[in-house]
Amino acid sequence: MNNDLFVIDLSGCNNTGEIITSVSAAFEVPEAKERKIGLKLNDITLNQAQMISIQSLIASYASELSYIETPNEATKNICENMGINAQLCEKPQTSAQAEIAFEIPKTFQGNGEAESDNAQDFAGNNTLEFQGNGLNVGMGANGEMPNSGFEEFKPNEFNEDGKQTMETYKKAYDENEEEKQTWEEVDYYAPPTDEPVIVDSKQTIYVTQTLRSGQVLEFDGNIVIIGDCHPGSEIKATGDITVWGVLGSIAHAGAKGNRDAKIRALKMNAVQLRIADCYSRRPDGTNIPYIIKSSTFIPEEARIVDDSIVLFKIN
Amino acid sequence: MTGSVIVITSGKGGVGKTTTSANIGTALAKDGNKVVLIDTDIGLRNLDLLLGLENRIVYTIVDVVEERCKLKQALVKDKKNPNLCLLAAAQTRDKSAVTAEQLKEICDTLKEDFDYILVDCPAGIEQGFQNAVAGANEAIVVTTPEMSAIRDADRIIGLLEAKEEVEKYRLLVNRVRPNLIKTNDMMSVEDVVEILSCDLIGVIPEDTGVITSTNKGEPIVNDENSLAGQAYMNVAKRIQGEEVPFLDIDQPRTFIEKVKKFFSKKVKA
Repeated sequence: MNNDLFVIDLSGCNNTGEIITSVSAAFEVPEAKERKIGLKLNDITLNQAQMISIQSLIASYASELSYIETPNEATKNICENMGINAQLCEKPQTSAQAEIAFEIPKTFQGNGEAESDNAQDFAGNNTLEFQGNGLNVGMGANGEMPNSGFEEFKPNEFNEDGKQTMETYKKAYDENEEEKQTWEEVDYYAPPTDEPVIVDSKQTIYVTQTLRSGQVLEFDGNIVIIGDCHPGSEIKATGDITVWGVLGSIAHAGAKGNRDAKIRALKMNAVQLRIADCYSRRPDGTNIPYIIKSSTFIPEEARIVDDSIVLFKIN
Repeated sequence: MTGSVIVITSGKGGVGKTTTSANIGTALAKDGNKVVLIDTDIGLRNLDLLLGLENRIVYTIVDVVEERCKLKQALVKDKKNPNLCLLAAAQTRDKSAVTAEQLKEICDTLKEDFDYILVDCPAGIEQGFQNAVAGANEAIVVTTPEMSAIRDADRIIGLLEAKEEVEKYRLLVNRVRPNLIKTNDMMSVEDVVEILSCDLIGVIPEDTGVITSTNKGEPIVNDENSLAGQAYMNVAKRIQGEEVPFLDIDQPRTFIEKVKKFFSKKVKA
């Protein structure tokens, strides 16, 4: 792994969702993979579960989250508890476009103590506007100037490594998991047992691709898909399912019997929704095309109310 | 009760196997028979879409084979006709998920409860075809009046003849366009039958209504005004052993055609 620090400026992001999309977008830069990652956060409080989500997202790109800069003291403490180097900084200016002096300690070396005194300023001329979302990506390498090849990056271009298959995702998680649970042997449609199954809500998988017909995504935990799910594909999770796109396939949340599991999508067009032992199907005659060309998305959330699956609009 | 197992096959893709299966199945059920449709096109299933049952599928044929559910649980009842059932294929697996013996066993079990078991065969002559044909004792070979489809049908007939279990096979000529036959731009049904030297079970005219019915998820036999629907009803009658004369597919469809035909008759008389 490259020991140089790659810094992602998230000071334009005001919630976890924005952070996740911005970080995923930043990893379209090939340079971001397989190296140590630093995050510059806005004044928001992140809890441990959210930090783990971000950490596992970064881990899925074979990189390591090793440095956090935040104006929020609570976030800083949590990061330190997790063994991530964290540092307090001043609150960023209100304007997202403002040039912020971005400080990286010169002596920072993986596990070493951070010393803010010997900081290098390389903001302004070296940060790159990334897709105009207020997200700035900069690169620090132990005080060296960033790579000049960075400017050639085109946001819409996918590199080959970006197209990971389902197997790769699963494999990456299988290797990380110490207690490998026999997920294949579970009867998905079985009614819940008397003893409630406690799902480890910390385990979350991020998938940044379109799920096409015939593809199956199974995970022991939560699934977040940034992309569409076409009819004929299947998603099974023991926790929640969140689709940042059109959900047009079969989705089964709480597959081990967790009735509190939820399914969320920007556009709900699922053929079938299953939560734990409950099942619901799309009404007949509503076979709207799954690729919706208009931009009118009504985010909806499915959850169990009195033994049946009910859809709620998310405001 | 011992039902007959009929495999609907063609060799070539896109000639209308699945459309034929859905329509003959619906037509047989409309005549009061107990019918089950088996989709063996694992990985590229479509029969559920044509019947409009996509949202009802919970268990598939692979779940039955791998003993995750009972056979009866996997049968999806049709929306309109309670006599018609569908055993759907899995979309997330491939043809090797089921073996020929397993499919034969399923067909033999279903024979006890149903009059007709229609097996929708995938294109090609590989494992999927071998699976579909395994339990069948009758076959309907679908073809279109094109050289490529006829050549593939000929190959299929050769393979079917080699199977002892298949007692008889009959030919269904699909997407026939009388206008083109008149101008000698398309082979006539007689030509096709002569080339393949095979019994004919039906002639289905080209009908744009088939496309809309596929998209709506409603078989065209439910549309009584459709010529293709009538032709499929006649095929179903022939399967049941009735002698039905072949439909005059050169019927005038629009008002102007009707007027033209009326006057041309007068002139001939």
